[in-house]
Amino acid sequence: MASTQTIDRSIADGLRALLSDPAYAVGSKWHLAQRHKALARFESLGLPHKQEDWKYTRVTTLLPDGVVPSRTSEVVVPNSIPKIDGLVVTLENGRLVSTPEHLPKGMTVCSLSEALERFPELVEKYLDRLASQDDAFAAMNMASTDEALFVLIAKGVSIAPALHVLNLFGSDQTAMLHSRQLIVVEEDASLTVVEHDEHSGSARSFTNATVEVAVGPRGRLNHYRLQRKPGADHVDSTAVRMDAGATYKSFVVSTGDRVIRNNLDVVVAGPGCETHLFGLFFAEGKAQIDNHTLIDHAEPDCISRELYKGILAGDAVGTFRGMLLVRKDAQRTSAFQSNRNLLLSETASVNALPQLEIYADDVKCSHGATTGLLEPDALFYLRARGIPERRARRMLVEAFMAEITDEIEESVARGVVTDVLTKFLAGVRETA
Amino acid sequence: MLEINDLRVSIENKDILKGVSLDIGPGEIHAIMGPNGSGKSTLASVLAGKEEFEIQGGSVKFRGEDLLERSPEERAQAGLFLAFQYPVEIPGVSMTNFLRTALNEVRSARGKDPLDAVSFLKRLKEMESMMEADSTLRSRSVNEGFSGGEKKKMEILQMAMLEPTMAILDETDSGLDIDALRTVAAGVNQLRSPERSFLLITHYERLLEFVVPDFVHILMDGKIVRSGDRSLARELEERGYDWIKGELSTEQLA
Repeated sequence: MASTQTIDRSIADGLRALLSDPAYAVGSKWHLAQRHKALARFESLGLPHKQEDWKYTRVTTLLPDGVVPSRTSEVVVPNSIPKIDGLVVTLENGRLVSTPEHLPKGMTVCSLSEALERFPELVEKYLDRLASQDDAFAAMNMASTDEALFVLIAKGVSIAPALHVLNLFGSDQTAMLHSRQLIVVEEDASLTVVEHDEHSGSARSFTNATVEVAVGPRGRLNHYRLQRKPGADHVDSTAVRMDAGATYKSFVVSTGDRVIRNNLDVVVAGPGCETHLFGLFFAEGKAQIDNHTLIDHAEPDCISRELYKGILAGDAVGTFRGMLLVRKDAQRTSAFQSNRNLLLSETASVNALPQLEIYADDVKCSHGATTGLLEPDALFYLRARGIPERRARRMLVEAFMAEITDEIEESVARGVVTDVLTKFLAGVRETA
Repeated sequence: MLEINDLRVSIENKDILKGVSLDIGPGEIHAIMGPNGSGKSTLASVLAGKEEFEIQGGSVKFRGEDLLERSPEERAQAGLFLAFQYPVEIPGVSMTNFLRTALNEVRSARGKDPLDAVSFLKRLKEMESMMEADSTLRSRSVNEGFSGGEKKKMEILQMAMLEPTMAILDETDSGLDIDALRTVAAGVNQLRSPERSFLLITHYERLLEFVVPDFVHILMDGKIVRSGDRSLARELEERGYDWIKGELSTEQLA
């Protein structure tokens, strides 16, 4: 295997090649300058081979040997995508290929290049500004971003139907693929986004997604992230910034057979905000699913609630690291964080790392983590009433998930979670 | 209905049942009494299919077929029911969902159509009034936070719902106050029929005042040491288990 420096250098070379290719070195002058800056940032950061918070996600296992950033366009739309009526936007390997025909008033869904013409000040304010400047994957993403999805909900506008983002990846050759989204919900506006982050195709890929979200004063975003990534190693960097009185509700549902690493950073930058982070992950075989979250409470009178649940089988490994940071001025913060994991095999395992850092003195905070096996007495009780073992196991797994699934209001997302569970349990059965 | 022949069972290399034989005919009520640790609950668990026990020998036939080879769910579907001594709490699974899933699985195994939501609810309400069970229990998680009496009532309710041909009640009377005991006993009596057999496992004679058995057996140290009719239970209640122990040692000396 190549040394870590060789890997970093070959990726930097790949990014430089993209930036010097006339087909990809597109964008406004500002945009190109940002991409070059991101490349420089990537070069100085290097990939997080040795950082403490990447201890359980080994970068060298994420990246296929010798792969460099590329754009390919052959994407097979996976048949796992449900039929969706309503607002649908499609990205193929990061490229915007379709947007909804009729958009409600006050809603913009377009490419980054169009957004740069129509809303330059908004894009310049947020693009690559919300994402952490220390995140090498987000820097790599920005350097390769010739296209991205831009979503804007104007002040005071509430969009009732969900916007479904089909974020499709796939390739017939081993590839490193990127996608990027910028979602801006202005003051007193609200939106539900359901992102279907899917991978298909015959070759193993590395996919790298960056999502930046700004929720204005009293704005609201319900953000569903449905990740189905067979055949892909995946890194997702999502950065959220909330202004006073805003609500952000996130559901991250992950399943795959390789490595998925999610970084979700929420900066609560105004008082009176509500943050709800829910996560459900399903890992079997040799899959590894890592969720790293940060809620940064900088202002007073905010509520945050975080619950991540993992269901693991085979030799799968999961990691949950949740950092709850309550700064000095964030008085009267009420923050609750919990990670619970259900192991369906004795060889699956979870690294649970709930973390609290509190600098304010008038706060209510709690955190906790548990990992356990399916209750044998409960399973026997159900079977003794005539319920077949397979169904009984499913009932117990569904009961375990209920605290989260009960919160899923969007019907397509509910259906996808049911589908994911069914396929997951069928796979577990076969490998058991 | 149920033929147990020389059943020997161990757990973790410890012999618990050391050759139990028992023949229960259709419509009969048998009671097994015995001191703590005699193997009563093991017998109930083994019959229902709990897996951590090892069958060392003997056989059990249920309606003429080998019972021990079957999974717990197949036994339940075939008409065997165990009322648990300690009903299990299952957070997140509602009682209604549990009951309806169980009923429809059992019905489908018996070649009957599933009950739709409306007919199911009607049936459930009838059972609730028969068992004087609080109607709020059904929307709660299975047994979670139920009182001892509520748990036992719901066990009998499940029995009524699933219409078994062979019902085993494992210390259903333990921990019940007299009112709850009467309700539970009335529920059992209502389910008595020429096609349905019962095996009552109990430590005390009290339950047998309300549900009158046809046969009484005394289990001690993994063996049935005495069998008789109802009067055996009364005698045992008056004279205590030491009386049996004394009689047994006299017999051994003779």
